Amino acid sequence: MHEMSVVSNITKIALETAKDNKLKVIDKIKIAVGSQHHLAPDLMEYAFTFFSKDTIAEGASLIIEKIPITMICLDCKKKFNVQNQVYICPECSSVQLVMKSGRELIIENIEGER
Amino acid sequence: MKIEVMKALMEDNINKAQSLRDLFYKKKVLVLNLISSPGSGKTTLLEKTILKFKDSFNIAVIEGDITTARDAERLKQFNIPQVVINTDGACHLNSTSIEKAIQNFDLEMLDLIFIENVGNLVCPSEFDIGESAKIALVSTAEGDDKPGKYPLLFQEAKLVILNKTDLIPYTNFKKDFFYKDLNNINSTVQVFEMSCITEEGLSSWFEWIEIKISEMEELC
Repeated sequence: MHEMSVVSNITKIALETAKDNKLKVIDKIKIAVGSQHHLAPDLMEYAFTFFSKDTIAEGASLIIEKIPITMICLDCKKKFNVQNQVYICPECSSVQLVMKSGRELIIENIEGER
Repeated sequence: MKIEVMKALMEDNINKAQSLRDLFYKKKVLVLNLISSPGSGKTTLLEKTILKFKDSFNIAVIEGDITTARDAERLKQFNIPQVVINTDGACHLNSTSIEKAIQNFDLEMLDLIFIENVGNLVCPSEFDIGESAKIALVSTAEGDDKPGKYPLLFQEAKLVILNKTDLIPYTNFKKDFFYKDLNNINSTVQVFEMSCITEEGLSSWFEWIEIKISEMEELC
């Protein structure tokens, strides 16, 4: 359900960016979503049709890039992707980990025409 | 043409949450954000906790409720400051709603604010609201699979409360399964097992609050 808040934000930023860059139409919006976020892509697309209606972003495609959860082990320095929600170093079983990626929620770029 | 944006989507919420956290820190107020499913026992836990501390600490409560003020009604008996945030269907509280709610409190006078988030294990975990700690409250009747199904909450939580342990004999809840799941996700998080009905395990929770409040006093 919080997809609504996120998508409302995406649309707002995309429209502001388009205005600043004098775009007449937005074709594509690319966002990066870290896999720790519980965001359903189909719900986001559905919400986007509402927020973009009657704006220059109407009909634009929302490209969602999923970023894997990557951790670095502080003990053995191994970098690994978290699978099946296991936050334990596969090399040395340490739980002293630092997150390298997985919490992103970024609007990367937009594409459109002037 | 392509235009690079590279903007964080929840930036406004994150920035506002951080300024709230700075404010709470300055005013020495411990703010606990309780996150759980509907019916896991948040309000009962609050009743027990407020009863225990109402004479030693100045406590306020923020109730996030989708439509009613029923939880707030239950807490009225304690005569403490409370604000109900009706989210009108929204599934979580955000930092703007907390900023508004605390206008009703005199932070100078408070030691502890409980935020009872909207009953939901998914969305509230995503939103920083300036709390000192997120607390995940789960009850045995919900099943032993919650950490694996809602990993973000258990990653974010500074404390996990396993409530309704008195019901274990009547459910298929397996403690070892629960802990195995939880250890995979967050092996260092502290867990308190309790039953608000039999009051077993409540004393560890009370001690934890006392320690956190004294840490807050010392740090500032």
